[in-house]
Amino acid sequence: MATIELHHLSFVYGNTPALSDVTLTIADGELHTLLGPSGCGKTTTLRLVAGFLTPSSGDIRIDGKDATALPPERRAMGVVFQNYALFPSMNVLQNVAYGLRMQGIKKRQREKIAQETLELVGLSHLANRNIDELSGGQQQRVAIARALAPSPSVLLLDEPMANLDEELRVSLRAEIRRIQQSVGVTTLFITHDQQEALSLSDTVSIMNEGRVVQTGTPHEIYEHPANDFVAEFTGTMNCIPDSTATDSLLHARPETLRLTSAATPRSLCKVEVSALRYRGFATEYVVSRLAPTPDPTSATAALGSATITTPLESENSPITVLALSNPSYEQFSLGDQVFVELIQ
Amino acid sequence: MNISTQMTAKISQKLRLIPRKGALGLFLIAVAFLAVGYILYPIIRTAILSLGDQGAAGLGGYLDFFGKSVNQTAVLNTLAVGIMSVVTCGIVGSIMAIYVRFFCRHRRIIQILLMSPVMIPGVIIVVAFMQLYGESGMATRIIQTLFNLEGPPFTFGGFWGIVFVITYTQYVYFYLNLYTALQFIDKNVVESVQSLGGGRWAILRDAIWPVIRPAVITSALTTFVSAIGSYSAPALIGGSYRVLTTQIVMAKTNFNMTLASIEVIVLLLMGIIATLGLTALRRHYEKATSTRAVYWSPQFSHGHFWRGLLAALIAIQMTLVLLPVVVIFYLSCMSTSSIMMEPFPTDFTWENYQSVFTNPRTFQPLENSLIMSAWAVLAGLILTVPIALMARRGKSRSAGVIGWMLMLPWCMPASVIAIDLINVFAQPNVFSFGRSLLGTFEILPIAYTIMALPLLLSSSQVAASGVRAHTEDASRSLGAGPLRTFVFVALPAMIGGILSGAILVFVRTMGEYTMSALLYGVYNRPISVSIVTNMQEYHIGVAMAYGTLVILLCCILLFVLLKFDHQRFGLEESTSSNVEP
Repeated sequence: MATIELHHLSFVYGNTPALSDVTLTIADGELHTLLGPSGCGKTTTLRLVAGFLTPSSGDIRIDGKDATALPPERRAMGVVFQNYALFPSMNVLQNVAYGLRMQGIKKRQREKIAQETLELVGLSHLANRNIDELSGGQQQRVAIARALAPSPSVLLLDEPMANLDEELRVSLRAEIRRIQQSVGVTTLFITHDQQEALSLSDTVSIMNEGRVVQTGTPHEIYEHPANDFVAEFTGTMNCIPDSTATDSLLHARPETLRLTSAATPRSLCKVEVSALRYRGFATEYVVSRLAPTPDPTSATAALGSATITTPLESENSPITVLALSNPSYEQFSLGDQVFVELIQ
Repeated sequence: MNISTQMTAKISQKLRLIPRKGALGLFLIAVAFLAVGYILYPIIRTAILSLGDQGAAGLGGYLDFFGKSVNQTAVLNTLAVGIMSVVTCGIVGSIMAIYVRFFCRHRRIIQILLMSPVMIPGVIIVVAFMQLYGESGMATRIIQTLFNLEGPPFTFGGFWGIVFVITYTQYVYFYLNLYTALQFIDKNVVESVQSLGGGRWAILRDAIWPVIRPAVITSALTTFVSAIGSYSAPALIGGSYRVLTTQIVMAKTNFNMTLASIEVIVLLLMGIIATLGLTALRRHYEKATSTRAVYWSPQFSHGHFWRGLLAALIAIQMTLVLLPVVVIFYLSCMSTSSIMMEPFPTDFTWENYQSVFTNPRTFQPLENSLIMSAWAVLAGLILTVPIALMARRGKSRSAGVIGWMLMLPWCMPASVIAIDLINVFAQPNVFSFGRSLLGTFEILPIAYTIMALPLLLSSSQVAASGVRAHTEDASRSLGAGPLRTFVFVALPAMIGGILSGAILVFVRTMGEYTMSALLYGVYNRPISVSIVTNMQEYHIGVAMAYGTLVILLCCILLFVLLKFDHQRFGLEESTSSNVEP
């Protein structure tokens, strides 16, 4: 297993900078996720680490050794691609054994290792199946097994669940985490899905326009976003004028708010339920402010220990409140006029 | 990373010209050397020779050329053959495509039979037609007897004889391209036209024609370039009908290389203008074909008469397609004396085949053709497969440029390629490493290779597009270098398309006559030249035996081809027919 260090890494496609001055350290055995919108440079970063691209500047170190100029076949990394990239002319076992074959391991031994790896991903019964006969989820597991079989020092996953339905993604997330922890391989995971990033990772880096904007644990990223971009990318963020203080905005996640039928000392404002969505475990309310709000041109709000200064965009921005499905909580309907407060 | 590596990475990235690996770079240089030396430079050399080595002052030679009526006739005749062949092939191929697509019950077997002309070398077809429709041909005599005529009812030769032969051999391209295009007609579009008040003519004009138009243009281009470059038909049955290809051979025979070069350049320009024009036209009409929404399956419930007429036309066409094959085999088993003396030979014998296999002089051309065709295929694949892979998705601009050069022979008729090679390699030069190639064994397989490059490259490009995205990256991430990645990952994915191109090239070069007639020598006499020579020496049975052996070999290869790449030839399992029950 290995540490990955990126030092001032930059990459230019033609005349377009895709990556600018990215510096990052991934500890041995850690699962680190790069999270960001499409085109932010996460896949470019992965491909640079894998060796498919050569950086314009900066360097890449694996376990302290400069790997910048090493070709991909000499980096001992396992890569799982978005479209899995399984070899159609080989069956499942042959796909998984491919890397071992490149290492010169004898056939019997490599089939044994391949079979063990397939057991790890729960697919040993499909060893002789053709690739085209597998479901998407099965193909994804084969791709993971193929990447792991040669015992790589680093595992790279490029949005491996992008082509799967939601239910499968949720179940496979846990699988990937289990496999990664059991093997203990240093892993770089790429995704644009914030739920995936926050649930899977030891650490997360948020990327935007070719730069790393913030790095931290999922908890840090979510609870203390460095700026509006991070805050909005990692979840819904409400901006609520604080009725207890003038020229002030509160930034609050939906799950930190509560609706009440009557005003309380903690009430922030009066609202009307304009939409609601039942999600099983919770009800998501979208409410519109009714109470008059101050008319400052900008406001400073505090969120935990981070302070965000935000120009007010609209005094009537809807507020999203997530209410857990709990018999003790009040339920509301469309058109109800209620109050919003922070849950202490 | 040090500064020089950074700069190299930057330049390489910017230009995508410098391959990461030295071996690939060397390969590209080698291919570029060959492409320049054997394709580009010969064209330039021929152009210079056509000016009589006088530079711009030599343009007077062209004025003289076009000032003579015999040359004007040859040029116009060539154009006429090209255009009329496009028309006739279009009609024949379209009828067949429509019938097989929408009416045919036994689709698979019919498709195989309709494709048989692809597998039969052109010179053999001409010889078979001569035996069938010539002045004393079997079909001619049957008609003469049936209708009690004094002389032959028709003359098989001249302009219409040439067009007939070309139609027989070239309609397949129209048929295949249209057959494929017809499946992309969207039922929803047809119904939209109908719902908006459009009748059958509107459906044809607005729903069908836009979809098949690019295929028609592509087929027209292939047919035109092939037709203007045809030599065997004009030479063997054209009689006094002059075309540029026969004029080129005549000029070369008379050692008038300046005149031959002028004629070659004129022919080449025809090919280039047609290619540029039709390619631009095709691009203009080409739409990005998305996955077809709903397959259009027309119901022709009121067309019994038309269906019957179509079936009759197809039956006639099938008979015309298969008859030469039957005649070739039939005559190969007849003694020469019987063929010469009897209207319908009856003296069965195997001696023609015995002669081929036991007489070294008779066997040699067959052996030569097999070796030279195999060489052309192998050399062509070595050149084109890596280029196709490297140029894919714009990965390497230099490979893209070299690919363009390798495609140049697409618009070069065979006689153009041959004369170009004669003009350059009659003398030692750097591209032949100080040797003159004229009269050597190698010159003919080199010519075959050049002719084969466009087909092999386009097959390889199609095959390369079938290599799934990122599988090569996956292979490299698992420790395989570029060569092992090619062998274990790319090649298995490409093998079907590569083989289909290879087999088609092999078949075409086995029967190639135009270049062979211009370039053959003592050491490399090919089977096509031998067939014609044997015909001229009245060893018709031996010529037919050659033809039968080649057809048998090609049929075997056809079945192999269909196994690997049946989609290219539109072969599907016979599903329920589109005919109304």
